[in-house]
Amino acid sequence: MKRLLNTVLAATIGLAALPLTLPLSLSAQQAPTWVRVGVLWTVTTPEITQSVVDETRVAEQQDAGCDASTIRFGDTALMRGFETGAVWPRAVRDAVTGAAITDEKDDAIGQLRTALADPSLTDVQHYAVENRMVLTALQFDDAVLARQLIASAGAPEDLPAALLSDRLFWQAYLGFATASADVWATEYSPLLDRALALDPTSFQVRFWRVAGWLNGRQWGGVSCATALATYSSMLLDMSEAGSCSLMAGHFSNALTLELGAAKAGRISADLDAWMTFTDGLLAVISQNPDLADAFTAELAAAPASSCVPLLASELARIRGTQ
Amino acid sequence: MTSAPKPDSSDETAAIDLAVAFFCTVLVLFVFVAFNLDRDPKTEPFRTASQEQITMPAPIPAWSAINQRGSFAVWSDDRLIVLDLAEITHGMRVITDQYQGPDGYMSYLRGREASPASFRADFGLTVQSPPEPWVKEILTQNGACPDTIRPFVTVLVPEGASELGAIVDLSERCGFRVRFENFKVGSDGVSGTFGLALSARSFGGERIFR
Repeated sequence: MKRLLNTVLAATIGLAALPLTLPLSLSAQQAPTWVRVGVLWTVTTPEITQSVVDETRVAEQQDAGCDASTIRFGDTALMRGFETGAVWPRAVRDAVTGAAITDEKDDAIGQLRTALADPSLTDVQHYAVENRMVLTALQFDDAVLARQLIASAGAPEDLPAALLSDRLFWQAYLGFATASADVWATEYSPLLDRALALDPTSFQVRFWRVAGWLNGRQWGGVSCATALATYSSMLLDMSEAGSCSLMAGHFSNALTLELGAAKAGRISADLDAWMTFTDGLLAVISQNPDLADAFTAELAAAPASSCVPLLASELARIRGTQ
Repeated sequence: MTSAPKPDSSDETAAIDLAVAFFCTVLVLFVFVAFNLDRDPKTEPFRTASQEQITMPAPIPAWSAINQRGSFAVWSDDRLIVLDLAEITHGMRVITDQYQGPDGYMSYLRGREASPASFRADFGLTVQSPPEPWVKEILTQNGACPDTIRPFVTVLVPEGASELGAIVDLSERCGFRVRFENFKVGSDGVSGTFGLALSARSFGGERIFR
């Protein structure tokens, strides 16, 4: 009896000591990551051993939480807080306000032309009203007029950076729906990069870079790691505007709406995978672990097309470090 | 005389018992397998990053970099009265032409912000019969659909109105999208006020997404 007890005791101690004998050098890159969704466990085996997504930025944004950032959501530079430095004449204010309310295009454009003709406007104010006219043409869905106005407004030497950023953004906006992947990469994407450099407080530029990248399928033609590095930095630029869960949801929904509107009816497995990655990263940033796990599992289960393994492993890695 | 052997009742019973037991086993197995092979399609709630709880669907807000311009209309008495914004804004610019009367008034405040488009305007009008100069079109349930209104219409609905289905029918028939705004009706039940404003604060954070 005593011998049996001793044997059992020895066996228990031996089993308890067993984990210590396992090799401890299994690095995170080789060990598979198990993710639990409900009662199902899914494994994602990272095949790429590099780290592409910048986890320090993700951590910063998580820490920022729901604090307001410097990024503004206004649709023109003036609405984002850019000061022209001069007083607006009353008549010009009334004309521009009237143009902002009315629902007839000719009336609106006419009012803005009247405002432009006011002799007491400074150069900067003149440019600002020109910008307003471009925005009005876009609001009335008149792409032809908008292009004309942008072309005639041009880019004068003394144009302030924020106003130029808007003009570049609207040019890219006009090209969004119809540009092919090459055209987007060569013509419009540099405009947006320049617009961001000119005015870092503009949210619409950051958002449109992401939307344009996805819409233009810019993951083709470059290696997956390069594509993910570019895309994740754009995405982190955009989510700087709000790392709240509500804001993250808004960004994700707005992306879905813009992409759906532009590519109605064409479903692409690649685009779905990148969108799932986007949603997953936004979920991690907004500190929603259940949702992040759900997206990680969805990506792990996605049909393995070009970049899906890298996306899955990177998302799992970021999720694991949070 | 030998009698035929009587069928052994216990054998018979045993045979019946065995048959019944076998049948029950098969039945249990069938039920077990049927419930395990039940292929109910999982209803996945629409997941977004803004969801706090994964099991509840989240509302879908909308944002667009360029806000589409829309018309304004007042809903009263089963009629959609589309307002003539050109006339109203003319009144903002030329104060002597601004309509002020018993059935409608307007107070317009120029903004002081960096953007010249910032303003605040308050309107009062009798819901049943807005001022004549402010009316552009009157749409009725079975009337003609005009082409002078924008594809997006903000409909001002008196607070507490419940029958909004007619507006939606009208919008589907005439092909415009509808957004509802509340209209504060005064104590006399006849006149109402609403405000319009545009400023940098209109673009603050979460507001633009709604």
